[in-house]
Amino acid sequence: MFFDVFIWVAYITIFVWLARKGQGHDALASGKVGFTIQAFAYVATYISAVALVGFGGLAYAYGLQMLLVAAGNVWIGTWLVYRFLAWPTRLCQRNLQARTPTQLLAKGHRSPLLGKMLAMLFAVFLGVYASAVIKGAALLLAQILPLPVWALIWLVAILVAFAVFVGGLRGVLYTEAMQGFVMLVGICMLVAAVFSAVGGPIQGMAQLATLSPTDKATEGFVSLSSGEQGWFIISLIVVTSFAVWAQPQMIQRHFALNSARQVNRITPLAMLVLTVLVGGAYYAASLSRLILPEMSSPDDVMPTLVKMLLPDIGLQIFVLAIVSASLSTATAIFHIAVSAIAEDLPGRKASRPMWLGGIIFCVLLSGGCAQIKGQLIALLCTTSWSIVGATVLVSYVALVRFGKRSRLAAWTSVSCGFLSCMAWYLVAHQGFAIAPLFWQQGTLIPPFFVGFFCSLAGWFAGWAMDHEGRKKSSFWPISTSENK
Amino acid sequence: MSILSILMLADTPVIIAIVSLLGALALTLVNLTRLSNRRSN
Repeated sequence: MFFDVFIWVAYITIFVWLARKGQGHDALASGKVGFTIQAFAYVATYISAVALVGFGGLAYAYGLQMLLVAAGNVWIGTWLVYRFLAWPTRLCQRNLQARTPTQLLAKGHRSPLLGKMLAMLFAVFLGVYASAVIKGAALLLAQILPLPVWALIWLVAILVAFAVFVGGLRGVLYTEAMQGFVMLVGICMLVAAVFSAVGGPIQGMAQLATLSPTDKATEGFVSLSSGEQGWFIISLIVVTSFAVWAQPQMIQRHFALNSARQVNRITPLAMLVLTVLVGGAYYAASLSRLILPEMSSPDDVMPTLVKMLLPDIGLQIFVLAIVSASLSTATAIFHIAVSAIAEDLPGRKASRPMWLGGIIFCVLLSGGCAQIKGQLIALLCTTSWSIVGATVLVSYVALVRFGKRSRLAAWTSVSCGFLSCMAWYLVAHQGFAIAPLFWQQGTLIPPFFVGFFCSLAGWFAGWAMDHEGRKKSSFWPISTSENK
Repeated sequence: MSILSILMLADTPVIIAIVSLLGALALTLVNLTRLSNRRSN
């Protein structure tokens, strides 16, 4: 008991201490941050509790094919990002003197109105999405703390707000790095315990190969499923690995880069941490089928596994790891939502009172939404990742990677991406369709796919029509001296 | 039982996933070792 209390007190003390590292810095500027901090912060922002607990449950149901999602996250979601997007993003941001991802796109495509529209989108979608992340952390904490969930929701929201208010971007990066490290420790413990229980990774895989196929793992647990189930895994890879490129909280992580050389240091470390985290979690969760009874809810797999295999101290550290995964994602999302409200919407540099006002608004929005159950809130939470990705991805990559600047093309791309993705949710998503499904097979096409391809078509249409813009658009000047 | 014989149990996509994750681990460890060696020199 004493040791449990000690762990939590130590965690909160380090959290507060690290958040204060940002004191005296601009809330939207990180200053110089080491590569280790940036690598851990990137992974911690990327991986939320959903990725560990929710997808861990899927790995139990689908088997080792979930490693494809892990591989996609590592290579597409991390390696490709740092290889092709991170440093050009930083150069664009510096050249345009953009302080937020919204400003990067608005200044890049020379459209302040686009910035305001994106700021509104980020404030609403990310503010509400943060409520789901905060509620996830509160529900988990309710398992070990004798407090009601509603109180824990406000407690977590205030803790996240504290990091954003006191630390700004710099404080958020440091706290995320610490949380990434805790996640790594928690997952390593679980992986070691599972390997020990099943006789090792190779022995476990051999046993897994002997299990009979199920409805979900239609070809067994060491093969990619056929038909709809296999397609589900492939769409999961694409949505989690490509949509991440354009999430504003991920784009903002590149703003802290010092040099192209630093990118070369961050990349391997981020890949290493992510491989151990998601690869380890999904491998262990797949093998858990050998030791767990049949589970009805995938979300119960990881908690049951932890309770079964780890001693009390291990349980505390694992809960800490999952809470860390939620908190790190929530602080990153909060920071973007607050900067959208305090700076991007008013269109001028945020003063301290404005920043505080933005935080109070976000706490009330997220905390309030987390308390109530509603179809609209569920829609915003579920759709946030895909809608933001489908809306921003094309115009962002066109700007930073290809140096294409066009107000018209950006507007057509963003509008087509947003509207088509949202419309697809309302027409063809089993949970949110407002009318009977007109085409049953349409439910198999993820809204992100529809949104992305419409956004791409919108970009090319706008680009073709924007004669004046095309003349002024030039390849973004990436200075060779800065690449050395 | 060797890792190769175990991989034979899986089908191609899962083999690709496992090999690419192991490849990521190996690559990153090599890169990080090289960086730390360069720093110590």
